[in-house]
Amino acid sequence: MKYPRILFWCVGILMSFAMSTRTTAKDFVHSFGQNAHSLTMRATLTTDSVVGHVDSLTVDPDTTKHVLLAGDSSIKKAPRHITTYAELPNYPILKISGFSDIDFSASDAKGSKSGFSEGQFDLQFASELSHKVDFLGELSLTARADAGEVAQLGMAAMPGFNAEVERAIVRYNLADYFKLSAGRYHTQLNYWNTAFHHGMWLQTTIGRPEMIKFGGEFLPVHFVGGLAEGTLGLGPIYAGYYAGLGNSRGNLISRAGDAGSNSNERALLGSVYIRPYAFRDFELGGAGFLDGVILHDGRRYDERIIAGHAVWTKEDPEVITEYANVRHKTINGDSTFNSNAYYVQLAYRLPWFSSQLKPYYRYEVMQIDRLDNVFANVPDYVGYIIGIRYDFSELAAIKAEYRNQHYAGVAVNVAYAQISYTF
Amino acid sequence: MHPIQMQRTTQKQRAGLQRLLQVALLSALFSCLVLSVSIRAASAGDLAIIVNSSVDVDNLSLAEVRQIFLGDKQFWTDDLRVTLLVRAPVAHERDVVLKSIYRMTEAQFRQYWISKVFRAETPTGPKIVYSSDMAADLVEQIPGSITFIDVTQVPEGAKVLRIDGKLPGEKGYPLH
Repeated sequence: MKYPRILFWCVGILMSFAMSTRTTAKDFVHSFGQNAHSLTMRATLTTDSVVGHVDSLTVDPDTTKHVLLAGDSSIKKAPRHITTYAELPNYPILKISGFSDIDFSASDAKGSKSGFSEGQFDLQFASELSHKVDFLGELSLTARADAGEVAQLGMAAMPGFNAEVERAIVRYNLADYFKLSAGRYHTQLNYWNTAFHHGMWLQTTIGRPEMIKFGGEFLPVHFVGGLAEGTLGLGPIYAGYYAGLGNSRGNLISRAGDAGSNSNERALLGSVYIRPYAFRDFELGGAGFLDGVILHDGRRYDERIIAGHAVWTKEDPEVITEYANVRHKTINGDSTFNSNAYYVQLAYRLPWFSSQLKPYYRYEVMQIDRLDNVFANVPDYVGYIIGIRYDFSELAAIKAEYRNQHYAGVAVNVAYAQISYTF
Repeated sequence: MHPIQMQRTTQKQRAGLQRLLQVALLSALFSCLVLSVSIRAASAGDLAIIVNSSVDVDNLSLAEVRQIFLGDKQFWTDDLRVTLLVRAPVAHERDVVLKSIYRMTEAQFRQYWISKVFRAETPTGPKIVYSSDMAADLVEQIPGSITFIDVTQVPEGAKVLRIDGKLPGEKGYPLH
């Protein structure tokens, strides 16, 4: 009878020990699982599938762990087991990812038809070529009703996909504060253009702001040339800059000078932003762009773009606001034309339903100087969108959106739905 | 004294002695356990930040640790690039780092790195490791690499960084 009593006391003390160390069943299961996983890893690990840096691995299974004792500032470490890695690292280290979406739309615009449409299929290639050099490429396939070079073949326009090299950037990283690159970029002039672009899943809404829409002429979406960039830690503030020299906008000003410049003049780009560490989700930035625009008929204009943005991306709430002014000036300086655009987008990730729902609203305005020949085909625009995003997976979302748009004063109502994802 | 009384007295004394021994034994056991609990509780859960021996840094502020793990600081020196090694989801260490360094949920963490690579701010996100052993092994092998592991898993020879001047287990250590 004595021993059961002692046993009872011992069990009681052990239970109080477990409670006092806050060891929960979950911790125990986690600890057990970790050890089991560790053993499995040692038996079967081939790190090609785990870490791109590593080609082969052998591990001595005899490893002993020791517990670090508190109050002892000199950490007592476990004996090291033998590990051998071959060919570390093995360049290039290529990672492929992508974005795509499926859309449905219905509009009251005259002649429009409702229905499904395939969104862009966007592939991104990020590769480390050495510890100092990296490459980023982006290829998009866009469904179009008039795809292909049909005119050259004497064929009528037909539906299909247009392929485009959206970005191809090779960069030499001297240090955090100075990196040099060359290639085709998303112009570092507009927050939306660089943060989301073809990544429909990345952006909260379905549609892009009118000022930076695909195929739009108001702001240059792409930039071909060279770029210097860097980041600096300035005490409590993280700051970054871009300085670029590249081709002018093409004769068709929605296009960058991909196949060569249309003049001997170069476009200049400068951009800065700051993110305070105390408010990591806040970014404030500004940019400038100087260019010479040559239209199809040979008329030349000096172009100056000033843009700024302030964003808060925490999602509770999310605030994105941008402004841009585009000034065109005739070469002889006789006439100056100013056009402005801005938008404000608000969203809030609701705390209910596992935080999967995010309603949003955006109001935007684009005021074009109607005497500006460069923007002869760009309409004035006022509109708003209201919608909701449902993240049914960590990497996929459904969005539903209503748009009230006024192009040159003509109202159009559109309903959109989209499934967007990354892979 | 009657022999029977003497026998009863002896039995009582033995019983008393046994109880005394039981109490002494249990007290000693309890004291040992309390002591071990207090020792263990002080350091349990602390995360050690360990780096490859090529990294010529011994101490970082918590703000600097954030800069590094957020991918804002990508070079230790001009010739030495930072390689981040981060535990796979479900690991307790990852939960601690997401909470105390990244200040993000798991979904936000994923989106953060997808977005950062998309913006061409970094060529790659963190390398994923699946155990403390693997983290320790790789950090030893890859120049410029940095990772975090439970302080009880720190291997012999690993270079442990002080955070805000403190080592894991010391009072005021911020990562736990």
